Amino acid sequence: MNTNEKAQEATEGHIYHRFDEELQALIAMVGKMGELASEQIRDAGKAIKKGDIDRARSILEREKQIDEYDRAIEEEIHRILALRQPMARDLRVLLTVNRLGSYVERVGDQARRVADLAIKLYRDDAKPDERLLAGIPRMAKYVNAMVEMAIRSFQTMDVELALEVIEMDRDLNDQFDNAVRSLTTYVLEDPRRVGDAVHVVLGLRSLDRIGGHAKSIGRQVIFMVRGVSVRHQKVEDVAAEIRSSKDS
Amino acid sequence: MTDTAIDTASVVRQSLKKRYRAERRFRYMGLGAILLGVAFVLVLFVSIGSKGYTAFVQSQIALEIYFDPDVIDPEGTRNMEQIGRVADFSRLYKNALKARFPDVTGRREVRELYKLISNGSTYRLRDMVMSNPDLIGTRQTLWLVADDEIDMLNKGFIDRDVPESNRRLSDRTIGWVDAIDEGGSLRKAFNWDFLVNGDSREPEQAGIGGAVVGSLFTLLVTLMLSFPIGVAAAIYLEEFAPKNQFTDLIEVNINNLAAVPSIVFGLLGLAVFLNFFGMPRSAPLVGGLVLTLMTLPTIIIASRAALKSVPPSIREAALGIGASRVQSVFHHVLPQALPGMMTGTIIGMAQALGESAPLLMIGMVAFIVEVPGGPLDPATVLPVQIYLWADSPERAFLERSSAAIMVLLSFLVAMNALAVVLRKRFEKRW
Amino acid sequence: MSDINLTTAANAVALPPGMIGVNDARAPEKTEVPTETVGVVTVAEPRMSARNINVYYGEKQAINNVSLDIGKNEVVSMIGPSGCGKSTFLRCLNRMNDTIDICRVEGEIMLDEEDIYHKNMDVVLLRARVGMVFQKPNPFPKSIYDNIAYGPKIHGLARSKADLDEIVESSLRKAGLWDEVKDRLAEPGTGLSGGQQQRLCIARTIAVSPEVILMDEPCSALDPIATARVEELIDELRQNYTIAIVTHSMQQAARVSQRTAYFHLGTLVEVGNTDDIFTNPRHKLTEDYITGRFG
Repeated sequence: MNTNEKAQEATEGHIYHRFDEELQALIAMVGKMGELASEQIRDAGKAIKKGDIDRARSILEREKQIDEYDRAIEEEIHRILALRQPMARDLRVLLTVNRLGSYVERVGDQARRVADLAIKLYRDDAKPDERLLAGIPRMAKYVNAMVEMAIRSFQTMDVELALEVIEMDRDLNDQFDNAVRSLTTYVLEDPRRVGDAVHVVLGLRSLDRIGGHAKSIGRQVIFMVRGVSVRHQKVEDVAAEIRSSKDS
Repeated sequence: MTDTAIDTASVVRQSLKKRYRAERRFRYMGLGAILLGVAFVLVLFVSIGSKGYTAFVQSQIALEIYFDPDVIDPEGTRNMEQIGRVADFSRLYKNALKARFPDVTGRREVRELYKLISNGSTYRLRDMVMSNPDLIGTRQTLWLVADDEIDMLNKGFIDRDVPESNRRLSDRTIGWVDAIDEGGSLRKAFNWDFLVNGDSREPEQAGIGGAVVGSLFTLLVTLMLSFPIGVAAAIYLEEFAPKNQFTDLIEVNINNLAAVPSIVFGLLGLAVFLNFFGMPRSAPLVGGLVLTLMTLPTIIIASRAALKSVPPSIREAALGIGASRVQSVFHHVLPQALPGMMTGTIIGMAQALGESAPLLMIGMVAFIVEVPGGPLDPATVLPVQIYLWADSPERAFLERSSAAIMVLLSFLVAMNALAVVLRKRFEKRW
Repeated sequence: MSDINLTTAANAVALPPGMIGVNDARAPEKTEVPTETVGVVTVAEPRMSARNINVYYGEKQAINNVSLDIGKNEVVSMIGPSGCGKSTFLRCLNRMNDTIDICRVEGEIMLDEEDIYHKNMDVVLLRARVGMVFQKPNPFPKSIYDNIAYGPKIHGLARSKADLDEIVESSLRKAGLWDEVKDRLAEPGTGLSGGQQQRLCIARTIAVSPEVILMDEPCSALDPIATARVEELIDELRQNYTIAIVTHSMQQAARVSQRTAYFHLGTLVEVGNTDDIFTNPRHKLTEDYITGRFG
């Protein structure tokens, strides 16, 4: 973890030095948790692409670690809220970390589902059709990038980057639609594969969800930095506002 | 870290003994100082008390007085005014003495015999007759005050073993006194005269009554002037006066005045009140004025200290709900400061009570027999009276001055006790 | 900008040109002491409004060009590190500073369209209209009854004993103290607990029916429970009075006030709705102060 990250810097300077350390430890934990989650996504994509069941199984194992992080972060936030009564930016950082924890945990859940899919598709040395899996590895890569960027925007307190993540979600939706469309064509050609196709759709759905969580993280980061909630605003409005205030 | 901790402990332990010793030493020294002080006070009290307590009793001789009409009213007019002016009442007790010792003859012996009884008895007998003319012609056994020399003898201050020539009383007189004593006609009674009478040349008739009343009048004048003036000055300086160089100057001067020797105030009184304003000499009024000048700084300083000790939050509280400055001072600050002011005033009064030097300058040192009836009558005060008696040669005056000191001290103690009581009473720290 | 800030906008009125107050972009990078106040210092319905106040203690300037409105029926809290001038400013509002010889006040403070520093303004009348509660509970060393009755008595607010009784009761009720002391009105006020004493002082202030109540760190000498009672009382009093409170406790400012003003080295750095100040302060100094970065 790079200590020059902006989120770390933003926690410094309290008269209570321990408070600095506590906040920094939390932020570091979120970073580690994010890394772990993005690794899960990457591995899930690879497992699907290469039919690597062992890799998929290891994802299920690692999932527990993410849950553990989530629990630890929640406890620590609980403790800090009770003992330190944070205000203003400190409070927003804590609230953001709290949400980030559950978003990343859900990202981990969805990655596990994709891994489940891999196990399902490749069990008994089955060789699923290339076209059946067509969208998944590419989409996995894409959402992985989104999650990494979202976490990065948190660590660097980069509103621009967070905004970019939010905007990427639209592209991801298109990818999802395309994948479903091509899958529909595939099933029409070979109706016997409809069972697998349903599983694959669910996998795609999971990846789409991961993208959604990355987007939520982005919105949360904007709230953290600007102190204004943008959770239920349209992307264009948020973007316009951020960019206009930056110009002025 | 642990090393230094151990070192600290052992180093401290080494020095502990020395430090506690020093502490004990200091405590003993303090205790010693207090004991020494108490001892001095005790010596003072014991010496004064032992010398003075005898003045509270006087020797009296019982005589059967015949209120002889021939002596009192030889013309038989029963004109009381005439009798009071003309009659020789001393003859009554002289005749009684002669009747008691019929074998005394010769002019010198008889005159010596007459001296057994204080000549103040003349006035007592006259007053008795004047207030009750029916006494004329009757016989009464009366306890008459003995002469001061007899009193001294009776109290054992005259050594019978000293050769007659070195003694103030002749063997003959001592013989008479013993005879009277054997007949049960000599007694010691409580000395009301001492407390009630004014000054006198005759010790057995001299009392502190005049001085006490003079002191009271003087203090009354002092109190009535210095308390209101002092408190008003303190309130103005503390609560209202702007803080500038002028008020600083006043403050410094008040503090300096408190240190001015009291005799200087006496000189000032002499120059201003007597010579310039032409006020009567020896009057408690003038004494009071002079003592006012002397006690004012004390009262002002004490009152200011009392005002300062009232927490400013009380003033703020009053101002904060819209009280004016005068209201805040008189409704809230003054009641809080009053006990302190009263204490200061009483201590100032006690000082004034014990003061003699300035009063000497304005003539309150005169020999005054009459008990003063008001602040304009000539009077003396207790400390001056003590000074006068201490100067007199008679042995009897010595015990009287000690007794007067006892009275003065008891007044001072009473005043200080009053100060404590007042403070306890009003100092409601709610 | 956001829905939260909309409330600020509704409360604010247009500033006359050249007037204090900068109501835009956050200035997080500024750390030097600003000359202009961030946020809106004016309100739609001001009860008191201070304009360009400078206060000097002798040569030393304690307050530098502070302007602030105190609106009707609102609680304005003033926070800031020690020596920032918040108490001095508060004491300007009822001319308590007059009692300090070397203190000099420049600027204009209006109380309902009247300049309180005008020579025609009587300071006794002013203090009857703008009451004050102090840091340390300072009941008079008199009975509880007399403590409350004193103000009405000197101002002649009660025509009869019955009137006075009523004022005493209603003041104590408003201060939430009646039930605790009704059976011992003749007992000394100083015999009460610290929290009760402070509420007694508030009741004493209310008894004069002021328009504005100034409170100078009213809870700094109280324990947390007593503090909570007093804070609850302040919140209730808001219905009828305008309250300005100086406090060292940021939590207290957050709990009781609608608007918060942050002072720093004699200047008013930031004013805003309490919600905004404590969640999203705009000035770096304000944020550093309330997040505990200097003090």
